[in-house]
Amino acid sequence: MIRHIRITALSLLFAVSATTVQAAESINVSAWGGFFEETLAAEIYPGFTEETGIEVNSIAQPTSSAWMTQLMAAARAKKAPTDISLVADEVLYRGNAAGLWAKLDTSKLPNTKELKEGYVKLDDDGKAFGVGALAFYTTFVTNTDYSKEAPTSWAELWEDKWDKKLGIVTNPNSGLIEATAKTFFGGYEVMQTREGLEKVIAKIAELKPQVSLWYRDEGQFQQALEAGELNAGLYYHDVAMLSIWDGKPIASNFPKEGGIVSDASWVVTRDSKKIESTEKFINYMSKPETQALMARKLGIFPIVPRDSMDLTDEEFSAVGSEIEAVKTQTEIHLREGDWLESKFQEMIAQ
Amino acid sequence: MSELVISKVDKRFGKTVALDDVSLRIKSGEFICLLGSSGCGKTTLLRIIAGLEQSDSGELQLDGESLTRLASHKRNIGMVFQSLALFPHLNVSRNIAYGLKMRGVDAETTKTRVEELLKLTGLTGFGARAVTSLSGGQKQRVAIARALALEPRLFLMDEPFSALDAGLRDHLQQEVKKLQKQLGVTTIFVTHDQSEAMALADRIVILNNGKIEQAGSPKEVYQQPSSRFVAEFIGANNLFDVTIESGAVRFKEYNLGSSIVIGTDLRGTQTLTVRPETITLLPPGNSSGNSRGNSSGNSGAFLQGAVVMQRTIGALIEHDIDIDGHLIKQTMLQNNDYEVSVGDTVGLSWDWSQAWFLPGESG
Amino acid sequence: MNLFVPRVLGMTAFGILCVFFLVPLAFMVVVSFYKADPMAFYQETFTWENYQKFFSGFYLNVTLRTLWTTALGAVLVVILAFTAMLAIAELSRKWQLFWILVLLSLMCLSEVIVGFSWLILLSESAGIPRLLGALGFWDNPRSLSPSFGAMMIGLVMLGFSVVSLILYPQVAGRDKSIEEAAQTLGTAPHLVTLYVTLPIFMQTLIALTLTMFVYLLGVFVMPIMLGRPRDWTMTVMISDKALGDANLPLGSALAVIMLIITGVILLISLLASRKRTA
Repeated sequence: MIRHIRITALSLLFAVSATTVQAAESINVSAWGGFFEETLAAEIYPGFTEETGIEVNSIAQPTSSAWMTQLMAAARAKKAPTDISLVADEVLYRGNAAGLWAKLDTSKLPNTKELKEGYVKLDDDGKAFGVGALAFYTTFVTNTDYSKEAPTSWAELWEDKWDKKLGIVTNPNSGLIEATAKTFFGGYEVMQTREGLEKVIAKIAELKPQVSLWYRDEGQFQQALEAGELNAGLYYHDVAMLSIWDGKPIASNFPKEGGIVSDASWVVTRDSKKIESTEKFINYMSKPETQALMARKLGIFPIVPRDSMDLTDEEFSAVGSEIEAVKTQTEIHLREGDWLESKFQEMIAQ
Repeated sequence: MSELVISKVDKRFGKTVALDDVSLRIKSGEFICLLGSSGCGKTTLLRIIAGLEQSDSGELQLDGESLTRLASHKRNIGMVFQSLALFPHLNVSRNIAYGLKMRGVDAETTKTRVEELLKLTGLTGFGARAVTSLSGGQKQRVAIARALALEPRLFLMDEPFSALDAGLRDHLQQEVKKLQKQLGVTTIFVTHDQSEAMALADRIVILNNGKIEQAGSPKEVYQQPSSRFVAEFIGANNLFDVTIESGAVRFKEYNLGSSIVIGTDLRGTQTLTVRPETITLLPPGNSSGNSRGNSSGNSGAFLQGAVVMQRTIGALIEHDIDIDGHLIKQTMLQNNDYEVSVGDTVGLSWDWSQAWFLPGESG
Repeated sequence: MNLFVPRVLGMTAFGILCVFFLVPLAFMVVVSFYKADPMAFYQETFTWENYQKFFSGFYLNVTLRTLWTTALGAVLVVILAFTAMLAIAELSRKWQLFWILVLLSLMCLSEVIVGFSWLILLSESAGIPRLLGALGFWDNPRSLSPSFGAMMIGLVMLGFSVVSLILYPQVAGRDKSIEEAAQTLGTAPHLVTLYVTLPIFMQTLIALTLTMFVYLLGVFVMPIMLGRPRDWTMTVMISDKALGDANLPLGSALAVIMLIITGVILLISLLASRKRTA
């Protein structure tokens, strides 16, 4: 996941300075810098402080892998740049393997029972090393000035109608591999072997003549799409919705194969001195009310069952879709990480 | 060889007049020195001849062919620059061979010619040296050899020796003079140093404020300056504003002699120039104080005054003599039988054949 | 002893160099031999694996492309800056000062700002393509970036002001009579620069080209912002590996190889230029 790459250096600075600000009742919470972190701090955390009296120092964190590299370095020095961090699946599992996360007692997290199945990540001893925070969609976004009709299938990406103005993420973890597998190879089964993955990547390679921008910076993609320099591409649903509400000529489309859904989890850093407070935080964030609030304010997809929340149909369809989602195959990305990364990079860079 | 005719050349830089109606005819094989103080236009004139500067008006002709529209690189002139302008990235031989290479001369001929030039300038064996490793005098020789390599129609030199010490400068002056005579190349040499001009030139052209003040042999410009500027610029000189009336030449209250004796038919206010070395000092007693208001005394002294300065320069002794507030310079050989010291009153006389009335100054 | 203070200063400087340069370098070399661990970070076991990956074809390919791109960029920067300085040196003092100030202010701009401004200048909605379209020179104006040319413009922009400002005093203060001498010796004015000025400055220009080469090798933003994936340089790959994939061992190995290649190229150029002057 490559969210919010622009603030790397700044967030590092914050991470360092934040460790020195340690009020009696306060925890440091980091999330992807930019809109995410700002909105969480402004709209969501105050409710937690009100309920528990615990202050939240919000920290902007860089792209997941870079953040992990920093956490790894901090862990070696037995430091905790943050108490709680919002991470993508890959970082969640890699960090766990490297022993970066604190183990949480599930009995202190009663609200997590509200979460959908599988969102409390347990280790062999039955302790939680991570708890689901939210989910978000990546969809088939289009510029409505150039593409009047909403695409109905991911297959339309391959059609010769984008005037060579597609924008695609450079990272193999965007979900494009999964969407391609589901659309053209009948499901994720093909991803189980390297041969299968190579076939999928070869299919993606067919996009190359249509792609004018392989992006890693969200800002660059969004600007180009809004300006019409890109006609379509893969983009985060939540930020696309913000653009739409801003009146930009953009549509975020859920193809019939489903939007790509990715999960993010809360983890507590191993060297945090405030495990109890962090448990209270995670417990609060797992409440259906909080999930509903995040859906409204952040545009994320909640991870509690729909009937436990008071979201209207309109509000629900703004953050997601009833169509079965394309699921990011995290185990495969973890298993084939380096190989897959190299293959994908070679495909686009050659 | 080559005769250069310069006619009515004007050149301005913005509001500054660099050359004002300059005309000059330079004979084939002649060694000309353009002499003047800085800003007089001498370098501008040289650069116009070289084609590095365009005149505003006027005409240059070399052997009857107009140079005015001919680009510098087609004029076939050899030029030595004040900075020498050697090519720092080329060795001595390649510096000298540069022009030949541009001309497309074949390698064999070039090699022979370069050797010849190295020999001519006393640089045999230095061909492979980097020019940056040479001494000042050696660099001069490379610059000269390079300029002469193409057997130029004109050989131009722009104050080439100004950065050298006196001994080396003398030596190179003699070499250049010899070389020029040997090759017979028409040469124009720019300098601000009148003794250098004296030593080198067949003819000295004195420039002042963009105009030619005088053009003549060293002897002419020295003995018969055409203007007050030249008289003062070339060598030390004494200038007297005299009046010639009723056959008598008068300076202040002194009667210098009768115009018949002096041999002049000028009248009115004139400028008389007398070189210091032509003045003879006489014992004051001989003039017996009666020269004032009178013709020369029996000693022949015209003027009388006190010695206010005396100094010895090598074989010569220099005196300043105060004549009613007018300082007169006088020089004489050390072994003169008449010795004076500061404070002495002396009489002055000179040989009228060596004295000179400036032309065109009558008032 | 009088030598005490300078010695202490010298040792301090050396110490700082060690701490800030050599230690990280040593760490990088060590890590490059570790085994990458997809589940964690790396295992501290010795392996040649990371270096073997370099010779897999892809990275070799990217390396050649990087060297070629960077060399081209460096040569272009130096040629353009030299030509520009020759032109500026002919202007009046006032205009020379004006251009020097422009160059100085250009130098203050960060890589990202330069990149973004070219991104906009080359975009079809706001930049040169749109202008050409509006003027009727281009029927279907399209964004000129990302492209190899756009990336090259970015690279050249980065180095241009620095190289220009280094060259300016030398070019403006050169002895013009050398060029005049070449003219009097039969060189046509338009050939003087080629035959005389260029050879005289050759050593300086080569040194500047090498400096630029090394500098541009490390540029990250321009290839990403203005280049296509197939134009990306080794720096992009290295940071992708080290930061994007958290595969520090491979990233380090690639960095070490680039360091060696750069070192070898510099050494060869140095020896070659020594031979020339000898």
